[in-house]
Amino acid sequence: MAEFSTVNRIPSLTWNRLHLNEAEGVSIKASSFFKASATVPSDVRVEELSETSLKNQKTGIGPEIDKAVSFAAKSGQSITKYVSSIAKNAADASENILKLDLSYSSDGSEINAVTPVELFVEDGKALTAIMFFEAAPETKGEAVVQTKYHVGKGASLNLIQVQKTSKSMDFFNDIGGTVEADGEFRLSQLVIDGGNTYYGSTTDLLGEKASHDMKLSYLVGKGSLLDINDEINHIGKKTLSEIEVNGVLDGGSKKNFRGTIDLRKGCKGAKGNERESVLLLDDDLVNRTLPVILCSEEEVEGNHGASIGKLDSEMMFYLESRGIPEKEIYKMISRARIDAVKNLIPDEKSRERVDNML
Amino acid sequence: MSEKTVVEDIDRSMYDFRYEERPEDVFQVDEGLTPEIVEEISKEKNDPQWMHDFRLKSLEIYNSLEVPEWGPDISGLHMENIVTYIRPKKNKMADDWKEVPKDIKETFEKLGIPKAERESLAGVGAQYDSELVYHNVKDEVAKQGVVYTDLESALHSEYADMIKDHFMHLVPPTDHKFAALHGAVWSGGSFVYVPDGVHLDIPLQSYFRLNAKGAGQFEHTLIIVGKNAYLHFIEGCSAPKYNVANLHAGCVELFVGEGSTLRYSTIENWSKNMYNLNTKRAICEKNAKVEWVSGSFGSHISYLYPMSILNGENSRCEFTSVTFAGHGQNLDTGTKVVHNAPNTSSYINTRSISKSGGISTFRSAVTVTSQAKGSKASVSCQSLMLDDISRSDTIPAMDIRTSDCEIGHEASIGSISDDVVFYLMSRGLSEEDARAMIVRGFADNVGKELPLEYAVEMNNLIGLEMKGAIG
Repeated sequence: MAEFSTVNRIPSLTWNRLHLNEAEGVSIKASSFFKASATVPSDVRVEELSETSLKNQKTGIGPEIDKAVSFAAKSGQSITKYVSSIAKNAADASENILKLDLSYSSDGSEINAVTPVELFVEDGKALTAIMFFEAAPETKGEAVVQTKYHVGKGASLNLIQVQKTSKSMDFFNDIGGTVEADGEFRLSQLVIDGGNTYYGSTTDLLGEKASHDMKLSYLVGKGSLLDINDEINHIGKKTLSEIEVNGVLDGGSKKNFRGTIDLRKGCKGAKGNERESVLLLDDDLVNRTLPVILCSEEEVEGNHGASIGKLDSEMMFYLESRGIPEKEIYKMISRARIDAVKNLIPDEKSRERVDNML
Repeated sequence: MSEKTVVEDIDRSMYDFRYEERPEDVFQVDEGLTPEIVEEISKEKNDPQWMHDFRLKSLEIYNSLEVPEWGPDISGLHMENIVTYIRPKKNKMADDWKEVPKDIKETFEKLGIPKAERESLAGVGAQYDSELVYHNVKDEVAKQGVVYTDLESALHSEYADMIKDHFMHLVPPTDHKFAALHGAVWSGGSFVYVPDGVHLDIPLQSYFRLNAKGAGQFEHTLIIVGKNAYLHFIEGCSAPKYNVANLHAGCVELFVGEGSTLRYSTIENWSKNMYNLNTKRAICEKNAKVEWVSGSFGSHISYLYPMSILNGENSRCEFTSVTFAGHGQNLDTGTKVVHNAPNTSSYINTRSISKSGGISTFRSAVTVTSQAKGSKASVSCQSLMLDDISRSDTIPAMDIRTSDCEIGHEASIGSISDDVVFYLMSRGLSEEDARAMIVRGFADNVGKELPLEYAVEMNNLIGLEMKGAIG
């Protein structure tokens, strides 16, 4: 079994003693393909590939996942590529949503699952894809999902990922893709507790006015780790990016967030914004945040903000004066953070499934 | 066709004059770093045994540590070519300006140090290459029990034990490779002791001048402030420009006693062949406060992150800085704060300006430990890009270990807003003046924290001349 150990390495390194340059003490042992159960709309073409069609596409977790995919591919199975030619105004219709379901379970032995997926949206077309990653509580082992994508000119990809894995699992969620001129990539993610999660995403905004809008909400419970590495590369002119991360950490949990907006030379008129809000419920936790802006272009804007700690005292006072006990207030706020992303899911059944997960 | 506004480089001519040393006038060790060289420095300094041993141990640590891989490239720095100790042969530290050797005196006269001492300082130390050449403190300040002297003299004085108890305790040689280098070859620098209850209304100043080509300066500043006291310490640095690398690896250790405030201001204008690998650190006891005010304008490469350890309940720190990176400069600056006691607070406010291919990086780390309940931290960093051949990065990290805290962070990178220029022009300013005003205003967070004389000097130092037109 091969092992791969460099995970979520940030493009701009900083002091080693902060333990943020990459996820530490991790190795990926996943070694066999695991196919997603798919509901495929009629205007989405499915291709089975023996190797990735996006070989040079960087992903957030890093090239080690490519190696894990190549290693698993030796078993003879294929990478599934979905190509959408759905009209933009029809993408959110229930019958046009691509649904990929990855439900993990094990009978006491460890799973070592690798699932590579490619999403292509043709020029001027659209795709809404909903991915559920769910594991039975007793599931042990590791699962890797790699999603590579390409958003064509004037096209739109709305990718929604909902995750609730088991406490005994390590889950690697790796994303990387490109967006052409006037293309839109929306990424909405929910991480509902589970075991250790390593999530990385790289987006190359190649064409003029290409945009990326990412919203992540998470709840991390006792004994769990959430390790994030988001990279947005502004390459085309007037490209736009938004990263909004809202989370709740319970006592005994750990979270590392690395977010990089890279405003590269030539991306005149580009704007990148990054916001993180973390609600800390208890002590004995580790919350690390590294929001980076790299800039080598003059006429651009880059902003980031972070707010970490307990709830604002004025808000607490207001809610308590309405008779809501402190414990309930925190519960309510945690739920509101999840709902903010859940409500972006255009499919009612999927929203209900999220409610059930909670 | 549009023409870009050009922002001139800092006018450094006043810092680039120098006197050529004649070999017969100076004492210096060989180039490079060997146990023999360290022994020679130790002998020259007449070190007590513990310091001699400390130097050799530090050298061992230096040899065992790697060069950092996360910051600007320092492969152009070759320790085998650096002279770690050099002093004028005639050197004897003077407390009367008239006794300072003529050429050195003229150097400091040109930099305005004696004038500043007469007009606005309580005491002055002037270091030329590896040694202090002048040290003086006003009588009324000395009468209050304030000690301001060179560190070597203090090592052989009644304060010897105090120095042994504090020297490189905040910045141990194991901290990083250049802290170890400092521990091995340090020379010069100041020792300041402010007794309990003493409030110094006017500042003390040290000025560091590195005149020798291919040399290093490794001064150590140790400041101990007692309880309920106040001190403002100002540090200035400059060097003429050479075509070979010079190195500055100083170390500043500040101990701020219960209820005291220490303000530490720096205007750094090393020449653009300088590798500035300096380490500064402060520790605050209960209700104490450290205020860093920092202007970084010079150096070829800088690694500079003053650190505040808030170790006592209700202790506080403020960090205010401006960094101006021009052609050929890669300035990696910022700060580190550790909240290690309840109800501590920190406020970080920084500005970076990049132009003519300069690279500026703001790097910070705010750590809140599990015992720092009720603590608050606010970080604000803003960067301004004046052209599209420069680079500006912000890399701020936070590590929070308790829920009972409030941490806020905001950062932005941008260029001069056309709307603001338009507004100022509608009030009668030319475009050049409008842009110059915006840039000066951008750096004003530091200017307004400095005494007036130094704020004026800083503005002169920026020397921003806007010319040309913009289309």
